[in-house]
Amino acid sequence: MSVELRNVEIRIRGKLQPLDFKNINFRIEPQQRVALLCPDRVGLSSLVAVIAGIRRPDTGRVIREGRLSWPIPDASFCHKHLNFVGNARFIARLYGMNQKTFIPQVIETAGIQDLAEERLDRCPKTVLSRFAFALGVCVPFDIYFFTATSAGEKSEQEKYQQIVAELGRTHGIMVAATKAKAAELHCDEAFLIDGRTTHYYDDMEAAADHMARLAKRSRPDDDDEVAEEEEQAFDDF
Amino acid sequence: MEVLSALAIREMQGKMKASRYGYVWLFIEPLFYVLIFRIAIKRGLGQTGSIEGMTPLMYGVLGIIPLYCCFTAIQTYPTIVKPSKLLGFSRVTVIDLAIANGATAFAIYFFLFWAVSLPISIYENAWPPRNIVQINLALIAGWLLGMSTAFALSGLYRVFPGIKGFTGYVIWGLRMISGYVFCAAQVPMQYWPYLTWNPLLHVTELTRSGWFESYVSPIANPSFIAECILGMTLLGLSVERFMRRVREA
Repeated sequence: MSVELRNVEIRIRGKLQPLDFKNINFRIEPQQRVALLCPDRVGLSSLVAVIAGIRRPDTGRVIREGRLSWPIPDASFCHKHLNFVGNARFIARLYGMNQKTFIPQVIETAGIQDLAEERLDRCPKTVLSRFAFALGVCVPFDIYFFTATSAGEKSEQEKYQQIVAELGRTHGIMVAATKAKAAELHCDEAFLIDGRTTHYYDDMEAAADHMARLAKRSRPDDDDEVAEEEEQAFDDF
Repeated sequence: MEVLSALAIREMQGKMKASRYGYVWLFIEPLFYVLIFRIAIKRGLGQTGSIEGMTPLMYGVLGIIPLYCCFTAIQTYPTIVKPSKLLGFSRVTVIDLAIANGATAFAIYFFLFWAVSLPISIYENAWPPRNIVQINLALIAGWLLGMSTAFALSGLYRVFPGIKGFTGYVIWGLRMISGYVFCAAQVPMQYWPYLTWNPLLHVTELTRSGWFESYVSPIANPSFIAECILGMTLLGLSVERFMRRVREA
């Protein structure tokens, strides 16, 4: 029951600046609470797609053992012309859940009792994100894969953060984010992937510092500072 | 089966969702061909009666709809290659997606076949069919041939995506030589060897001879169809697996 990436390489084309992920190697066990940090514009969505199995890596292997969730709260698989109950029923059928208990549980977790029979395309996005989040957390998995750890309006986000924290006590958690802050609350370890290398941190603060440095480097105003840092790094080397 | 049924139901729910009365459009196309075929027989050939002892409307239905079961299954080949969001579900594989997609098409045309055949055959005094089991097996065989061809085609599509532009023409040609508008008894015997390599012709011949007491197909061979299904399935699955492995290596 683990997720492992072995020598994975991902090429992202069709952009002004083609990107490459090279030599990504890591393994996540069911009881781990791990952040996957990727700086902005490095292509986190492609990495998420590869880990989830939506896209194949250009080279290398992704080994998924046990039950890994889909990227939560992704709702792109939902039929927008169906109502919430219809979409929840699809997940119940797919994972062999008892529809009589699963659907009310999802509706309650999402807090959409009044809108359960409403078509998805007639509902606000915040409601949709709550529903997608609830769908994911109500299915039992060994490892929950989050791309956001909260959903809905700001006032509701604490509730969903708590759900993630509770899941983290008994299951594995993987949070993919472009900002360390989004993952700091729920994760103890981090893999920082900057395109060419994978850095492992068993301390989230250190990972956050690294992310901050990378963010600074990508800002054009700080070019001089970056040059100094690079010079210093070269001297150290 | 859990996964396949969930995906097939979802596919069914999403079919033609963008258009109003989506399902009606799916049904109209084959029925339109049946009608055109009937008019062509009446006008062009001056025939109003039977064709080799078969009533004209049912003759059209038995040639046209079984081939839809096959050709819509063939057209699922891009789903085997293109990444789908549904692959994010750990239980779903590419093969599940392709089979569910094909099963949806089969369910639609199987339903259409019986929904149309029943009233038309009663209207033409051709009810009941001689052998219902044979007809259903022929429909399933047509679908299986389509699915296995789709898997084989997926390998080609991965290497050369341009084939998508040609498939429509190839299917049209294949349709014409598969008993869409003719039956083997209408073709002179010396031409049979040029046509009988095609298992789909055997499928349409089986449906026609399974329906009409008066028509015994001179070429229909169920064991040849079974061999083709087995061969194509092995080829299709091997190609799919090989292409997947090559990519992973």
